[in-house]
Amino acid sequence: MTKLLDIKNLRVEIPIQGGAVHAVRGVDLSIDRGETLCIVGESGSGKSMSSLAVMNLLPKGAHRSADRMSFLGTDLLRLSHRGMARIRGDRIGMIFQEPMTSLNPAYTIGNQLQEVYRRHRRAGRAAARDRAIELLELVGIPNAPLRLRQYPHQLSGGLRQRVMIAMSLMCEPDILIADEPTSALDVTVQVQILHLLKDLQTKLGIAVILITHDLGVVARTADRVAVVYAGQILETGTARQVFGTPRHPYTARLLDSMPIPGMMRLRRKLQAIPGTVPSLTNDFQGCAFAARCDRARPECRTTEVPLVREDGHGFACLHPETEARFAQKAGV
Amino acid sequence: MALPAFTLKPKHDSPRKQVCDMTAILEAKGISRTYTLSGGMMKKSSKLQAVRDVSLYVNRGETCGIVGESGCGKSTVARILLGLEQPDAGQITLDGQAIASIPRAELSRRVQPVFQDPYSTLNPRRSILETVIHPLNVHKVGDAPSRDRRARKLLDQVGLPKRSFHAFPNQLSGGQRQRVAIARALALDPDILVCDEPTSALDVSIQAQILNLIQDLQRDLGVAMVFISHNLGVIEHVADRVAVMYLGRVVETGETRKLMQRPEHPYTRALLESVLTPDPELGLPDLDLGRSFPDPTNIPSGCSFHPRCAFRTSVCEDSAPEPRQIHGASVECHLAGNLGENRLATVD
Repeated sequence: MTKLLDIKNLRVEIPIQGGAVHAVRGVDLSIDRGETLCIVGESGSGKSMSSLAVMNLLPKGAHRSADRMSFLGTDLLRLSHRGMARIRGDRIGMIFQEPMTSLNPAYTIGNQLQEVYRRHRRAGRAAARDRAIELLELVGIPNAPLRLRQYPHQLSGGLRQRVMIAMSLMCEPDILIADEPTSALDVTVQVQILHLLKDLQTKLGIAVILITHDLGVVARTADRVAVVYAGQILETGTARQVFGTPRHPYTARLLDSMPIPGMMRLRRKLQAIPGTVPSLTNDFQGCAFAARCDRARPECRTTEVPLVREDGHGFACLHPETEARFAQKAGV
Repeated sequence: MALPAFTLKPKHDSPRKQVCDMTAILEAKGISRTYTLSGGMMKKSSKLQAVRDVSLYVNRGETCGIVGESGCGKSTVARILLGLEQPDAGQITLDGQAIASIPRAELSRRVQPVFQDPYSTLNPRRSILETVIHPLNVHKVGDAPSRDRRARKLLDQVGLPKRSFHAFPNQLSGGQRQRVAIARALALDPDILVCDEPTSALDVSIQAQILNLIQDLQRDLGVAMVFISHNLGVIEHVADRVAVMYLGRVVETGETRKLMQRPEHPYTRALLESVLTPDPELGLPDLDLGRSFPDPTNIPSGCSFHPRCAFRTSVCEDSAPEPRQIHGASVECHLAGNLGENRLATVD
């Protein structure tokens, strides 16, 4: 079976004065129908840039390259702007973190929902309106006809994100790219939106690429996970592999830095990762995480670290961790 | 003004012991705040009840956490505690003195804020050092060299490298900016820090750094804190006591550890369950909260949580619950104590 989306060795460079920011450095991604792929990383890790590169929505001047970037057999690298515009919003939908900035405040919800459908499907006003109402109901917004007449500012954050999801699903895309869809929402609303995404996925069979910094969201929703850092994938595998037995110290340290209820009963301090994400302007040698890693040895800073795979669990580390995390608890 | 603040000496010999010394430094009694929203032309204006009869206290050297969703009134409480907003009813006392009677300058010296987005609260045209010196200038504390010394010491204490002292906010990362905001808040040696979602804009690894920093500073300086967050995991890490707010009311309050082990209010349970731990075996929690959203302009009758509550009975729809004492916590729920075992409490 062919992959829905298959990307090999994706690179994104953003020229700046006197050099370039290498935001994405050789990322491989693929996704099948009905699958949830989570890309997790901190800010500046290149997770958003990867998805923008797929959509050809990179900031002006940024350059993307890849050995392969195919969507259902179509080579996205060779596709014209027009061809891409036809796919974008139709075959590949996208939602962003802050629905307020992606919704146009000057137009009603209905107007914006219908525009997508009328443009891609050449549908009439009435059909588009019906479709919009159908989608709003699908994403759990009651009183849809009234909502269509409202402006974005009249809705709560959770509702706005539901509207964004509805909009991205207007044309029944094959892939939905969700870039931090719940980061601006309340925790209880976040759970509802994640449930919604899961439900829609089973109902419609779409593939979801979920980009987030929240390991909790990833662990609870992902089929497969890619942990990115400084524009590279450091660890990838199923959620169970990556979170159950994290092999890369970066994944392990990220897990340690999460405040988890109950942990405080031991009065344990949070394990912060010292330092910050490395500058992406220069090419570094060796492992990108070496400077912040407590397991780093001299060779980590000098030798190229390839991604090795064991049972589909890939990690780029010379001195991997072995400690199991939640595995023992699984029987409880 | 004299220079009492210039030594970064703890205010108390043992700040941890201080928790036992139950004298409230900041106390809010029955505060309420209602905003009038204009409905536009030809429409009726509506009332938004942001805070409804809330009582809170913060002891010396202690952290009081406030947790709740957006629209629950937690930020309004923060603004009222900071004196940025006047409550319609109720009173706030700082060390026994009504804050309405404290001069503005003195109040701002004794109660300092740390907000969520350090970028929008730092002046982009001021260097880091100038930013921290500024409050000392405004309040005319000490002379120029001593202000400079104090600012440098604070910046060092919050973990900023010396080479960044002359940097501007846009040259710093989010975590570093929040460090600057914390240093600035501490510059005047306040009695109490009001932190409104100070880590929500940060990455997890950086959030951990900032939370640890806040805890270290509190241990070293003995400053009391009100810490507002929507994340119970974060609250648990910093707060000694926690107040759970829902639609302008404190629905449950108690000692953090006990409250986390035995949450009695259904809303507290839902909040606790919605903290997604990175355990791949668990899947998404089923919150049972229904589809309705809390709307502070239209507060339900009876218990304001009843439309979303899975346990509701007819009593909940009719009468508002009075706070009840259960296991040392104060809970506003008709059914408190009779909800059965919490799903989370057993995992441990």
